[in-house]
Amino acid sequence: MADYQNENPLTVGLEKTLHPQPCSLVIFGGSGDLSRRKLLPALYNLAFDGLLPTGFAAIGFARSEMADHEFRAFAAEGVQKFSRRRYEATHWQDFERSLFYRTASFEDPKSYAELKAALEAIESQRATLGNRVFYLAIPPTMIGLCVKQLQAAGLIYPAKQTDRFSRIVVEKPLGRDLETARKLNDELGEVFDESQIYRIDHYLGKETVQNILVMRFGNSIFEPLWDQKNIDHVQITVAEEEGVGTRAGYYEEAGALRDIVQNHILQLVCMTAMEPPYQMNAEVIRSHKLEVLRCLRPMVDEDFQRYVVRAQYAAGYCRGVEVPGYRNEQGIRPDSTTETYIAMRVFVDNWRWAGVPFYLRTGKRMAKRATEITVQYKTVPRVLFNVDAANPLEPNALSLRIQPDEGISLRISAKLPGPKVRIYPVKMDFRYGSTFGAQASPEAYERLLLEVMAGDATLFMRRDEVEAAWQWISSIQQGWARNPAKWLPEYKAGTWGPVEADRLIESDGRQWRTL
Amino acid sequence: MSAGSAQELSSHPPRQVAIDALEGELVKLWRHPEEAEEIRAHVTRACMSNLIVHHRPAEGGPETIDQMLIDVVRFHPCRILLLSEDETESSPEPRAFISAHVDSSQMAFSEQITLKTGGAGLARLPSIVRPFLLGDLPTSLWLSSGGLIPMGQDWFHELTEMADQMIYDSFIWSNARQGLISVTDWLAGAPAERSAADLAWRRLRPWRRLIAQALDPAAVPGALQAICEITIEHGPHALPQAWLLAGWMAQRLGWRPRAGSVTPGTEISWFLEAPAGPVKVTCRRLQQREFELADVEITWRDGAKTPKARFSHAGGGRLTVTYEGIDHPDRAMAVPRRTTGEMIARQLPDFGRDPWFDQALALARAMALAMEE
Repeated sequence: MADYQNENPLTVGLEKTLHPQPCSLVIFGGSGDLSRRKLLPALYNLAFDGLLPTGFAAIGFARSEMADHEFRAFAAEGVQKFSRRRYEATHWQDFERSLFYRTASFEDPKSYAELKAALEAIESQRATLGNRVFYLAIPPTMIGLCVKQLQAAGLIYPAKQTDRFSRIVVEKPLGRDLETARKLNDELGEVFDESQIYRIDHYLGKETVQNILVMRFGNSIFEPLWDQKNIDHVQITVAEEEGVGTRAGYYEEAGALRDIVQNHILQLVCMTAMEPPYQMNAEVIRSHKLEVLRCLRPMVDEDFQRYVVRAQYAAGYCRGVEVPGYRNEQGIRPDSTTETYIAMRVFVDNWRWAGVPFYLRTGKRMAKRATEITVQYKTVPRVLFNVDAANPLEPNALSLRIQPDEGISLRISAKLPGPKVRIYPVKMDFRYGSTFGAQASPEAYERLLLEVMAGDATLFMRRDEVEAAWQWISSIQQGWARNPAKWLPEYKAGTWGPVEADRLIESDGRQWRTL
Repeated sequence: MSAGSAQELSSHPPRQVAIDALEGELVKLWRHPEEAEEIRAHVTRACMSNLIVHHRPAEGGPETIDQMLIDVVRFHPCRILLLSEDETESSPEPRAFISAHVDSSQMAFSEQITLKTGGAGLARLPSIVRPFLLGDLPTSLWLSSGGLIPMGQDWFHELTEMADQMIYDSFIWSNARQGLISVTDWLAGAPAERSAADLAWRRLRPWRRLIAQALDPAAVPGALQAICEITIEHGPHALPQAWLLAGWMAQRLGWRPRAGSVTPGTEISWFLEAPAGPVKVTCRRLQQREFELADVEITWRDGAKTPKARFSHAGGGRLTVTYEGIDHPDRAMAVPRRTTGEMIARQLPDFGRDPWFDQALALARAMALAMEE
């Protein structure tokens, strides 16, 4: 006899991986840009694909005065503009019935009491079974206040309650240094159990980032060669083509170190360097990533001279269009010393990676948008085909392209056709777009929202992970604070960065890859 | 060059080549693309599977085989071996054609070998197909035309031996009972690594998902174990699909078929034994409906009351559920609209056995055997 007193036997085998639960999703900052561009289109896409639970509601909760119908119009505009799936009136009509809005004053307990009353009505109307997800798309300074208000209003169930759940999702920046990150985590921890907290780094929702683990541990040919005995160095590049845009206020405070390195790049370092996990389980994966962060060698003063380069973009041309320099951008101080580019050499001091440099770089207004991890292998011995010191063989390089044009390529040496033995580097290319045809990958937020609804935290950062990342970043922040810069080197917009960054890697006898 | 589906892929008209020249023509596509008529620029090859398609042109449906195959390779680049069984072909000697599907950026392409033959030439086809299967890639056999699966045919047996999975669509079966029995027989005799996939089962997924959510114990406590009646109304060709849905529910909920009866052309009913009492399942045929499944009504006992949940195909790519006898909100779910080619493309990577399909099929077979002849 099937056991269906508590479980639902009809769901067995129905979903291959995720089993999202009915819930209400309350979006703090629901009238903002993230909501319009990412969250609401992601939810629509999930509904369009039949993946959203039918018992679902999204409630915008923000300062702007808006009625339900205005929020629905706001969402429709976002979906029409930014959705991966086309806007279809029939589907939209079903979806928009799940959208609600409540105007909030985040400081005012009355707003939360009203939210509670609204949620209770919506839960019954939408069959969400009382499950609640609070998505905080708000500035980090507001988070502590909001979670306390949620608790005071009785909107949160304890983690041990099994018949319904409360979960909270927080977006980066998760602090601006170790101290503020700890404070933020303390504030979250006072109200929520760690198992209820989902810290988003949207990079982890990307298919190709998840594929790093599949490539490493789903194939037997790479892992035996994935160590200091075989690898010469690793390069990780996150290049952005756009400038600071409308985010001047935020970016002036953050800079490339906090905006990209502390989260996205360190996550890529973790995925590249982590030991084989014994299970695809949130705690196991996150603990293995944490081990990598704890092995990052802190920066000391002498490193800053040679192995950390920060710079700002100067005026130049991006794809033929004239663009201003960083300090001439709207909202940026003319004497700003905020870095828009950073390159550095770092080491993961453990058995596997001892002595293998990881060269990291990220910048705005670079030649093109590209994120790539390249593992460069050691050269073959200087015998046989590699005896010509003037023309050494190109070493093998395995590149994992995260975006755009997602895929994997491997540079190998091959014999040029002809009577003589002439070796030439050739590239074996695997492209997601070609191989998997027109099957569009879901947006990162679609995957991450489903994970939250399913209660799987594998792709989210745990408290100790975030703090370990900040701990390492703080060695750089402190180094900069000890020697404050009056100016930063510049690189022309539309290029691959400053000459100082080239010198950084060239002093080790290596070169940045052209992406 | 003919325009491809959604202007993303173009398909070149097949070019006839001698069977013994096929190998060379395929190599030429790669080694000297500039010499191949089909490709005039550098391309990156993409290939995820071998797909053998058995097709009878005389049984054309609303989508042509060419349209379907373009859709397949748009979503799943593969080498296609199209076996066209054409009674108008007078010679027993199969004729071979080669063509290519190229996307607009010339980035990906799939090659297609078409073999045309009359019935007498079918026996020769497996020997032509065998050397053209690409190694290291899974192979699927798709029976794209109607009728029952040609179980007893040698050519079919030889083709299934080459394949990791056999794909069919029970929607076009002429005899549901016989079809279900013969597929389960085939599966029982097939090695564990070979699977069968029914597109009708794939199309059931949104129905299954909605039924599972709508009757979830957390939403409607006690409903699943107290189901007493299911009525499935289906279009004229969708009896096997309705039957599979009933088989799935019965298998998942631990019901055992006791007896079945047929009202020819109208409905089939079964009585099943469930832990909490008997369950009546009826599959009722609608004459004038374009749907596969139109409505599924599930009734359960709740004390003296018998609440119902009614699941309906609401048009516009939607399924809805409404309740009667309990206070529960109506809901709707989007059903992704997919062409047959896209369905095939999505099935190709799923070549392992689906235990829940096999179990549902096995129970559907038990229901077939419980019926009066």
